Amino acid sequence: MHETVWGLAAGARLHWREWEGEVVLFHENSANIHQLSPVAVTALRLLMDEPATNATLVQKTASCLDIDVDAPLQDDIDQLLSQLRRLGIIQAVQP
Amino acid sequence: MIVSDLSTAGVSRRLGKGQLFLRTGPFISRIQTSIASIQSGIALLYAGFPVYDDAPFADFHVALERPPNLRRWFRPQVTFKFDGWAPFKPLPLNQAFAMFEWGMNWCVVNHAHRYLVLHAAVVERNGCAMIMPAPPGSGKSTLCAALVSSGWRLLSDELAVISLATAGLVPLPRPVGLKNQSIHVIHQRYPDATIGKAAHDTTKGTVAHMQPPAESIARQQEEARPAWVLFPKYTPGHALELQRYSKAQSLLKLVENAFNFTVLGKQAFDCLGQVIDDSDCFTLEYSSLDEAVSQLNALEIPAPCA
Repeated sequence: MHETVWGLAAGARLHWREWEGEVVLFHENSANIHQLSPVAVTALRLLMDEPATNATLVQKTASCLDIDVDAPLQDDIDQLLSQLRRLGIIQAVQP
Repeated sequence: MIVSDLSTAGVSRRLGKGQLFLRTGPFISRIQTSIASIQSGIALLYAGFPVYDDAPFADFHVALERPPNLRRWFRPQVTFKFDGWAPFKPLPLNQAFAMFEWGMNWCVVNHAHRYLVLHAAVVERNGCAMIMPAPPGSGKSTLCAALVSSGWRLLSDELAVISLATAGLVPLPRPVGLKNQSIHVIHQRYPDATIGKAAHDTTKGTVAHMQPPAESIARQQEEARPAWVLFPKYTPGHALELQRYSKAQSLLKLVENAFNFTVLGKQAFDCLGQVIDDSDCFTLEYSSLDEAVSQLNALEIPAPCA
């Protein structure tokens, strides 16, 4: 059994605004708006560049933000991916 | 021609025949009613607004009527109609003018999708607009009435109308809705203010409307640049507290207060993003209107609007 690989949902149109380090995401397909944490911004931008598994995304996010890979970060990324999938922003893709 | 150029009988006659075309901001409304309290309310509170006997186009065709049912004899009511259709249940006749005002808001909110429309008051000074979104009970309209009675220009008491093309604030200066104690407060502070007849026992309590300042009406075609987004909150006994507020959070709150954000989609997101780019954002908690007005008069104008 292999891990799920996550990528941007087909046809997803995302727009961003950033003020003083705070990021707001607009998902044009649903017309919903979300405020993202620094971890969420980094992870989503990494997924937009290239599909990744949970574990890979944790590693890449930690590297980008220069933070440790630890259990809280893994939980954050797991929850984030679950939420983004539910919102129709990402989907499982072929590895 | 403005409404006050007509006699009260002239206003009533035109309204009775549906021949009164009233300009408020960018909209022309054709209004028909034989209800005396609305006729006198329009003659008084819209006295300075442009009016036409005929117009090639009206944005909204509205009528306020007494429904022809048995209630008309023992508990008279009023119905608001838009293009001959009644979007709301009738209200007691003593609330007729308030229903007219609420109905006019409904027309803009549901049909003016060439603009982004927010639930917010908007006032202006030196060409710079302050957008004040706030939930009911936060003292938004009272603060708005105090500001426009202290030299700020009224763009709108209830609906912020934003141009999608320019992100500028489009004036829609209609009578300022006052509720409950704020009617007395504004009457006491500004005895020269013209306030219409109060309607009691509405869903919002006692409601009355204040005539907009003449200058606000005269300049109702003049857009203003966004400069401040202010979230006011009236708290009795609270010391004045003005605090900077996160721009990202401000954007989320503006979206919460937008009527047609999902209709307009990315255009609305871009437009509100521009508004937030250009604005300084604050929360204001206050109990003294004098202190609040004085504090807002002293706000520095942000660079994009300067």
